[in-house]
Amino acid sequence: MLHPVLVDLGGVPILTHDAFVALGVLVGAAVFVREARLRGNADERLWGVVAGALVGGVLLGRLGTWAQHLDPRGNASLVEQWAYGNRSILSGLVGAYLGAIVAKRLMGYRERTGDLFAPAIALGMAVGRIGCLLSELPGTPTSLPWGVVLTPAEAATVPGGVAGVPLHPSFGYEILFQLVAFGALRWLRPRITVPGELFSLYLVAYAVFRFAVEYVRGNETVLAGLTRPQLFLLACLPIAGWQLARQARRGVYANVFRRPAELEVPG
Amino acid sequence: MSTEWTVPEPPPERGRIRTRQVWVGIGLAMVGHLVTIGVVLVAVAVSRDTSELPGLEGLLAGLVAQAVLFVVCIIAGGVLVARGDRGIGVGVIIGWAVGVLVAPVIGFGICVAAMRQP
Repeated sequence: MLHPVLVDLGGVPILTHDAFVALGVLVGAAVFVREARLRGNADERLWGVVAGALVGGVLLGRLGTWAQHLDPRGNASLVEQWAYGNRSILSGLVGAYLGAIVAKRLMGYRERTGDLFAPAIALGMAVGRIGCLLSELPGTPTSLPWGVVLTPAEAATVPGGVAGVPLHPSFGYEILFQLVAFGALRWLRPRITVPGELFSLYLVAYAVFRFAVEYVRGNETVLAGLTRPQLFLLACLPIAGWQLARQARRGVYANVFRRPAELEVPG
Repeated sequence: MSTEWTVPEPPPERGRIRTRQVWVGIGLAMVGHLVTIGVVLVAVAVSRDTSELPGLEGLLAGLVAQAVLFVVCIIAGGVLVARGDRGIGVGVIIGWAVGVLVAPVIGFGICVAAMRQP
């Protein structure tokens, strides 16, 4: 099940996780460019927004989980965190969001850009998570028929690994979610035309999914049986839910279940 | 006192961000990431005979090199965006971030292979 090394090129190991992260970045970039062309957005300032999002995403993706403990002595130094610390998609998304906002301010760009990023993030993460699926602890024990079983050698390579017990393929669930989300975003594109709303919907859907999947991922629980990502999401979800409800009341999602023929503006 | 009005010349228009220049900037940053990998290899090779932990020396050298690369890319990219070739400036910043994600694909393996050598 686990293949932490994708290929060994004459004594140079290529790690599966790193390779799929890189591939996910390239796929995400391709989807972003295609989405910008489909929407006819050729504003050159988008380059700056992309730069801001990437820098913010990379910095917070690596350093965002630095302050894990309330007691500062329990946290690694920033240098240690950069070198060995765990990477976090949630922190990376927050960093990318903040980076894009800062870059838009600096570039004087006022349009909402989230709808360009949403499908790119979804498909990029679907690809990137393949690396996690093949190299990290799959999840918690399960009796479901699709549980994956680690050999003793594989279990020894991942922290908390248990051999001979079926485990939830939690990263497989996330890959499925991201693929469905990518398809849903394409389907919703002509139906939700208010700028930025597709991105908001995607973020809320991912937050709900991530909160649920944390129960079978096997991350450390730190408070009230919840993991750190769940605690973070618990703080964010009410705000996101309120925003979603407000937009729904304004009729932003009124066209979601209409057929394409009904969406056309009459003569 | 003259009553004639003259229209001042408009300020020179900032150059457009051209895709080719962005790619040049990304390429420059990628070269920077390759240099940081080279720094690790040199540090491992140099400290092999003098240190019990040449891998640690390599790691420290790599971290310093990455920090320097980050500062150089952000400052140089920012200055270029503000005053110079905006395409290259944006490209250098994008290239740094993408390089952090992509460079380990070969960087990690090369460094591990160097440390394994007797």
